[in-house]
Amino acid sequence: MPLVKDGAIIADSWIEADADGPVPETGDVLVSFDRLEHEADDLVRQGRRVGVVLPNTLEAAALAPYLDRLDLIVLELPKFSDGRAFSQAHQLSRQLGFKAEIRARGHIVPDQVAFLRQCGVETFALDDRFELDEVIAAATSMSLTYQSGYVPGHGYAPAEVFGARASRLAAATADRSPSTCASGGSNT
Amino acid sequence: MYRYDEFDHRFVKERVSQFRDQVERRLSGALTEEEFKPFRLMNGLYLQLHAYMLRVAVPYGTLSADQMRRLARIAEVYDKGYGHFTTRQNIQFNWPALKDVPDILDELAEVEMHAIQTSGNCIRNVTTDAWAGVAADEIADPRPVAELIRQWSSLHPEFSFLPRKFKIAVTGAPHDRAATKAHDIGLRLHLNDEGEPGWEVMVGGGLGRTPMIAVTVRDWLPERELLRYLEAIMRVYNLAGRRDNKYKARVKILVHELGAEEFRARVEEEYARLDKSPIEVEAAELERIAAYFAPPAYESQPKVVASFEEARLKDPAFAQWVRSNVAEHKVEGYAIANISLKPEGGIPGDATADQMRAVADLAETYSFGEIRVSHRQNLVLPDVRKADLHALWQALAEHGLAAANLDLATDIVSCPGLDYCALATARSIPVAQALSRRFADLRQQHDIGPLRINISGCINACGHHHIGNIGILGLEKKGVEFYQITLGGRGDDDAAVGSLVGPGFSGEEVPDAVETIVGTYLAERADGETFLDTYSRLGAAPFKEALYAAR
Repeated sequence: MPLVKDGAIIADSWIEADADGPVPETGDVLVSFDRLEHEADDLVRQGRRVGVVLPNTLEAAALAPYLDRLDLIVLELPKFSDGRAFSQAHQLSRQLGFKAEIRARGHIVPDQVAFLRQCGVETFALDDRFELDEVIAAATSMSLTYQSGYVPGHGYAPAEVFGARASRLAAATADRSPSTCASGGSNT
Repeated sequence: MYRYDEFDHRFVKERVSQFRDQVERRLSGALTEEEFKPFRLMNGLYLQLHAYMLRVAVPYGTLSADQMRRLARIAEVYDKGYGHFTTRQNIQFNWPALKDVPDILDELAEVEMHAIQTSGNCIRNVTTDAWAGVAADEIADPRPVAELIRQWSSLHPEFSFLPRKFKIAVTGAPHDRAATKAHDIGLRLHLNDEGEPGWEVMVGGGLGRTPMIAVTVRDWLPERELLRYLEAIMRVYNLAGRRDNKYKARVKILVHELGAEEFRARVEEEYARLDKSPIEVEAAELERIAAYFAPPAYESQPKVVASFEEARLKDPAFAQWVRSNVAEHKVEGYAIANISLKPEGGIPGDATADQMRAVADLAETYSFGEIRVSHRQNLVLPDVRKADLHALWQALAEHGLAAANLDLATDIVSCPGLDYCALATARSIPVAQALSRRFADLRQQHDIGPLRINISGCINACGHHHIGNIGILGLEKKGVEFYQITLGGRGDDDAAVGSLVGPGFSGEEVPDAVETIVGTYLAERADGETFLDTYSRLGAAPFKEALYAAR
């Protein structure tokens, strides 16, 4: 299946460089982690957008020195049951503040898309045998999440249960407070 | 007890629809069996030897009477009229059809229950002390925190594809009745010098083929920081836990291979950098949950309940049951009544639909409608007036539920073994039944005193044989079942893994071997010594001698 973002198919502008072949002449270029150290600066200087493939054996922190020069980080799921990419994505997006695209590829089951999005993954390269409808249905089947800090910043987003309860409580308390009544606040 | 609000209801309902859809996609072929497997497991559905098995969560072992009645209904409508209470405070149904499972989950959702994460490589149903909230020695009820963990761990976006399953146990009492040191994470409540509650965090315990006792990574963690700290541990494990070998994938192996110091350092490093902003909302949530666990409306009772004392004097069988099955309650005039699911020759942990209904009715009559499931596969009515104990006991007896053997020789813990389980290497139920008959004499059992016998039908140790005072492990060699015996295991505050006593025994020899072990203890014990006391004083030598000298 082509690339999916927020329930829609999007064009993929990225070209992946071979492990040790020449870098494609133009366009957005995706390199391996090993090539990043030596080639990132050159590519950025050429005005190219640079992306990297982060193996799931490396800590997200290994990318910390490069984050400001990266426009794409690709996380790999060699097997759908290997959940390391979920933590890598969370660390990149929430702890290291990476704001550009995080992509997941490899053996991904549609039923994992919702969780990966909650961890900070934005785009998905799924196997051709999955239908877009199936991905959308699986990704939107839960409207709530009990965890704090796992709501995607774009597209379909489940509501945080703890947060929703807290704001309801705060609203109820405010409604009951004398100052609200005095100022004519409605109790709807 | 905790009640669902609209969010909890919606969450569980959506989860059932989601699973209904997954079952359809599996049946249509859109999902392969391999891909479907983790999703059915995370909804409690196993494929066993003869059929599917559905494991329903009983979060921290607390059930209402209505929930128990619903379990009885499910046993009758969708199964063969019984259910099996497990060592993780859950209940298993052994014969549901795949097509019925979404309907069963709907029925559970109606009574605020589910089967979420009772299996799979995720955070499993959290367990605790079956006497939580009522035990006389307790510092505080651990169930609000257990419920907070249940919610936080439910469908965790980051920790649902862990290297292996992950079990958390919590206790609020100094005497550990939740085997916290035998869990991936064990939490024990302590008060600091200012009297504030905090958690001792232990990681890396577990049974299975490599039994290990958990190590303490934090002596005292402020209560409000608990979920944040758990997140740090889970992340370190999710990223660094071994995925190359299923048998080395539990967190205990990571703790062991890194060493406790390095593991602790990594957790603290992760904890230092993770987002602490949810602490406030999580603390508020804990407070909201705690309100549900306010004590029931206890009545003032006399210090000495005359009718109870009289019944004990007049009725020796009742007195015997009180002695073994009734425990001290924190409120004067009340008692904790333990219902043994280990009748003579029975299958440990099994209960029929009729028995479940009877327990539900009795809970309503005598125990504020609340029931507990213990990790020893028994049930508990936590809040019984001493004045009602005799009537309760008589009613239990009518339903075959009055076995006076709690923590005695025939209170045997056993996994389903080869009679049901696809992983088993040997049968465990028939061995449990044979031992139950062999030690049936109640007077003898009371004379032997506290003795925990645990039986597992394979190395995965669901019967927790490692922490049985006498542990029995069923194995298979060249198509023949045989049983290894370990001695000295315990799951309490002095948790220890039992030691193999010597060569194995055939199934038929096991009752004799156990009788020899018990006989050796009786011959050697000093005044007031329990089996464990004698074993730790003398070591294995006299037991070995008695077992193998004649061979």
